[in-house]
Amino acid sequence: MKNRLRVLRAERDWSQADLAQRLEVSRQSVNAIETGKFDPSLPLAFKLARLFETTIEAIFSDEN
Amino acid sequence: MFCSIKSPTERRYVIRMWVSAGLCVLFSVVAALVFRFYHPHGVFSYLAAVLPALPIIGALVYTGVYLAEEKDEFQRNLLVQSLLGGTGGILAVTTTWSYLEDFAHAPHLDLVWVYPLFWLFAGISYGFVRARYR
Amino acid sequence: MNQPFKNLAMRRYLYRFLASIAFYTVFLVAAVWAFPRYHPTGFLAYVLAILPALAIVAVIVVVGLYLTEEKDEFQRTVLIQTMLCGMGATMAVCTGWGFLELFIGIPALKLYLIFPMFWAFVGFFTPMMQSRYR
Repeated sequence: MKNRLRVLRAERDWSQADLAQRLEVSRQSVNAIETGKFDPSLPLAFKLARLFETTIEAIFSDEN
Repeated sequence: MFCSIKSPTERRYVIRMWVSAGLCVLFSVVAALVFRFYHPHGVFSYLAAVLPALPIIGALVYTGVYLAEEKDEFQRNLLVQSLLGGTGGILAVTTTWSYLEDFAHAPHLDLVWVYPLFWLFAGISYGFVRARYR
Repeated sequence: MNQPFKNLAMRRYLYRFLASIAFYTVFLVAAVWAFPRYHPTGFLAYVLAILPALAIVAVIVVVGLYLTEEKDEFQRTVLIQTMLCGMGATMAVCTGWGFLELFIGIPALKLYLIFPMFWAFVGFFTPMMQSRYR
């Protein structure tokens, strides 16, 4: 699923490893979500939204 | 398994799995007859012997295809958990049985039964997994 | 998987796995040593024979526990996909070998080899599965 994670990360000057640490997942997981190859579950998506102080729809875009 | 089919994708999957099982039985009979009456040698004997295994391999590949195709993620999750339960079950049983065979002279379990037993354990796991979501 | 020791689920898995394998080694050595020397029979024979197998079942349980405890859903998904592929390949090989055993009479595959065969296939498929997500 397309998302704005790279942009949001850059705004805070976080590397993928930084984001991974904050989410308590591995760097590969962050990379897989960012590149759209893996969709996070609802709990993880909410965690992301809370971390970036925004909504899930603001991060992920469902291109259907 | 027939009472809980929800989608056409799933119905197609269940039908094809039973067809593959039927073909396996049929090909086993054919192979047994070929060996009984024609006594093949060399390459032909190997070909005749693996004939019944071909529908099984097709079923395994098709299970993978179905898992990729099924849009209902809950149904997909149910099947994945059942398959994992089946994996654990069959690995445990075959290992235990083979130690009993070697040391305690238990009757031999033929290798061909490993695949049907795998589905038996997957079916049992399906019951447990389903119950969790009631 | 980087930083395995920071991940609690991974650490727990490693400790439990090593403990189980240690028990397996001890039980196996005990069985291999005791049977030719003391020829146990009846109940004792079954207990001695089954102990190494129970250690292997413990390893299976340990892996199952890891799957439920791992919080990183991506790592869990990739591992599950690898295990399903591994199981498919194992079933295919077992069925093919089983039919060859039945019809042609090639040497039998010891059932306790299925467990390491499964893990060998998991190892084989891991780089493939990981590269899908790079």
